Amino acid sequence: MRLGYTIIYVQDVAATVAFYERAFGLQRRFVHESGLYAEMATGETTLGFAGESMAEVNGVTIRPNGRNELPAGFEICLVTEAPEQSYDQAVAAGALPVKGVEAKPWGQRVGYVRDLNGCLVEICSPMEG
Amino acid sequence: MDLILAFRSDDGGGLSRANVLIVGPARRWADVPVAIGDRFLGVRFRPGWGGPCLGVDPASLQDRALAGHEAEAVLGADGGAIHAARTPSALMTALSDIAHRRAASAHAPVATVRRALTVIQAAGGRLRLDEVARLVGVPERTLRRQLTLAVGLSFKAFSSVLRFQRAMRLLTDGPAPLDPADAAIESGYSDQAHMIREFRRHGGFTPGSRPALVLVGMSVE
Repeated sequence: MRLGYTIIYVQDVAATVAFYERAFGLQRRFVHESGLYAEMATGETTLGFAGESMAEVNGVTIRPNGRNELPAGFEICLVTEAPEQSYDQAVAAGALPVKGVEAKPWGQRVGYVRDLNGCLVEICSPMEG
Repeated sequence: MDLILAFRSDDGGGLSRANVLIVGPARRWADVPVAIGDRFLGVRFRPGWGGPCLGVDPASLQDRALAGHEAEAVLGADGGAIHAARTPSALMTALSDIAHRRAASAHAPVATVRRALTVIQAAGGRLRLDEVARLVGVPERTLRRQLTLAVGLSFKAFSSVLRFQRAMRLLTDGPAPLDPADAAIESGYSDQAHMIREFRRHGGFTPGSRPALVLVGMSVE
């Protein structure tokens, strides 16, 4: 078994892809013509987005995310050499600020924002050594 | 809401004149007597779309159906294509054409109602109205009224039907359907007794003694 994908159900797949490009500097790898599924180029573990209506098609149920909602109990963690700069870029692009970047006792610099759908996104420097 | 054609067909492929039925949103089950040779073709419209596609107020058809002249009046000129069909497959083609044409030219529900219907269905009828209202950004009272108008059922009744439909799919779909205890949890019923009560109300049967064919359990695909 290996972790292949993290897929978030979202209201608007195209808008979410555009937001992740603008706010976090990620690039799209695949956008399905139906507009109901897309993947970002995130390396070994793919970050994907599926339209909320895909839940019913897949036979599962979900609690939709929302900007005014309490975020669900998970986070997307993006690693960058310049977390302070990335945090500012994300907020400037419309991410909701949650917690500014600060140094952790174990050496990482960590901040939190929420994306356009209200999902929690951690922005941090790589773990040293 | 369903548009159903009931007809009789013999082995030679010929068919009787089709009876048109427009079936409204239902809160409880109904038995349909069927004889050998009776056949049915139907289209089920997505919640919120039956009204615009058929030009009928869904709430006016709650727990009832139109038949005969009333149903023919709803079909209007489309009735010609139905009654011109001479074989079951021609009837199927005519029905499919009518449904697609009407869906293409129907006035879609407003964006907030469409989004509300999407999240209610994505959650399998397990969200509260205030949660849906907050997600959609519409006052609860406004949304309650809009949903009742669009679907023809109250939010509570609609959610209950969705939970039942999902439970039916979990119990019947695929090579390895769930057992009743797991289906109850996954559908959002508090326990199996709750699921059994809801199945009696919506289906007239219990999870353990289901009829062989229940249309309500059919997959969305």
